[in-house]
Amino acid sequence: MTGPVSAHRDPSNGDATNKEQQATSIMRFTADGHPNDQLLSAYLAEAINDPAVAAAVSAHLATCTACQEQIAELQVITALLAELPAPALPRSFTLTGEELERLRPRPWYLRYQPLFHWSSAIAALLLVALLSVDLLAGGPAPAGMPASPPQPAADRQAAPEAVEATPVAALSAPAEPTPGETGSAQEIAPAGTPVPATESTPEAPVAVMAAPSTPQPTPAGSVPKAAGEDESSPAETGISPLRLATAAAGIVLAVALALGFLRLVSRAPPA
Amino acid sequence: MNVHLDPSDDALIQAVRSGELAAFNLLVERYQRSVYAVALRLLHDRYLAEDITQETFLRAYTSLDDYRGGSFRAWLLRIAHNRALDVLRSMQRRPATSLDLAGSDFGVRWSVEPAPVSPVEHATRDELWRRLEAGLAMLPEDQRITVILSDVEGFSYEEIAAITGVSLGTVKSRLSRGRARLRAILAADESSRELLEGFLRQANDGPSERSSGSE
Repeated sequence: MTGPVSAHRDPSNGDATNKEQQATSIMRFTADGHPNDQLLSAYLAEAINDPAVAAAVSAHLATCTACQEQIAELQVITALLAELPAPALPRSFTLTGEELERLRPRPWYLRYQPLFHWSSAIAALLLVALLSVDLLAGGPAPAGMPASPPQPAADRQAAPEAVEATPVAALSAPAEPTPGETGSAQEIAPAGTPVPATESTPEAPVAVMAAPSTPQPTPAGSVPKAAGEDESSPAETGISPLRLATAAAGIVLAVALALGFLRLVSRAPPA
Repeated sequence: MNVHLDPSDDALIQAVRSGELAAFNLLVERYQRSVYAVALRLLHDRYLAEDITQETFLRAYTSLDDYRGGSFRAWLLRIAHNRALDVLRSMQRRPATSLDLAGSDFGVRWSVEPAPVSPVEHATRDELWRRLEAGLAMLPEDQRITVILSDVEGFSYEEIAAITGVSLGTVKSRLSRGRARLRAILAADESSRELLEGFLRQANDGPSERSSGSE
């Protein structure tokens, strides 16, 4: 609301109150009993805070012609100001058709549209690149699972499914979606995985069929991953930042897509 | 110029938002006098006032979606006021460009209303207007903007508080101090005082009624 503060504006409310108090101290009755200029003007502007003072001014005005005249002058001045002719316009400030087209008003999320276009494109490319690197470097996944490297976001979403799908996956799922907590992941995964890795491999294709709409069936994804960790734990430490980068790209993409969606649901700007 | 008084501000803004971009120019025509007059009285420089007026409407247009109801004119003047303050501040930093008050005779070129008064009173009033313009120019900046917004432009205390970004109490105190000072400035000058007293007498004697608040 408040713009930049200048020396002439009140930097804070506290200062404003000081000013008001200062103004109040300037407004007063003179030695000969008349309200001074300030006080009369404040009376006219209904700017006297103390009702007792306002009443005193009112009482004084009822009897004092000199002060009545002063009030009348103030009133005439304000009336004249109300009719003060506006200065002649140097020109018309209407916008040209070209300006109207070029600068057409946009809501904030549309004003940054080019930014979103670029960021989503870059994030999408990045995501694909990171996922491929992850797939190649993340250790040999079981043969049937080409799409195995999960993006953490998808993991988190699909975690409940995993619990339902296989009790085995439920073990590994909590360890998986938090790439930051590698310590706990390492602790849990080796313990849980050797058994499920073999058991769940047949399970995974079932999960793929059961949920064909989700492109990366997570029970399948998480379990082989855990197996991969088991095989090459040194490589696992290198994967974590990669995963983080993948997640970041995914989040940027999600935000850009959400804003695109926002645009879709808001009124469509006329072409 | 009172051709398009029909559509409300909100209707015009809605029209702009739904693609009738030219509707914005009706708003410009409606408020350019106000914006330019305030800018000129604040800055006393036709060219700066012109720049600020143009910037205000461009800015208002591009960020029209930030306008959330209320008085559109007050919203415009908040933009203009902030911009004018920026300019004033940069001028104060470079004191070479002094504010000459020769601008006090600026543009009383057209009268808002046909004066339904005697020629003498009319002449008196013109002269008083000139002196009031000069007196306004002598007020401190914060009092000047408050008196202009309240008494010349007819904004409410609340709107002035929103435009200038200060509390209601500050608006009231600035207004009363500004008016008192303006009266003192006129009273200090012998001929101005006589004009004012003469005008008061005429206003009291003559049954001529003066419509106030023309805007």
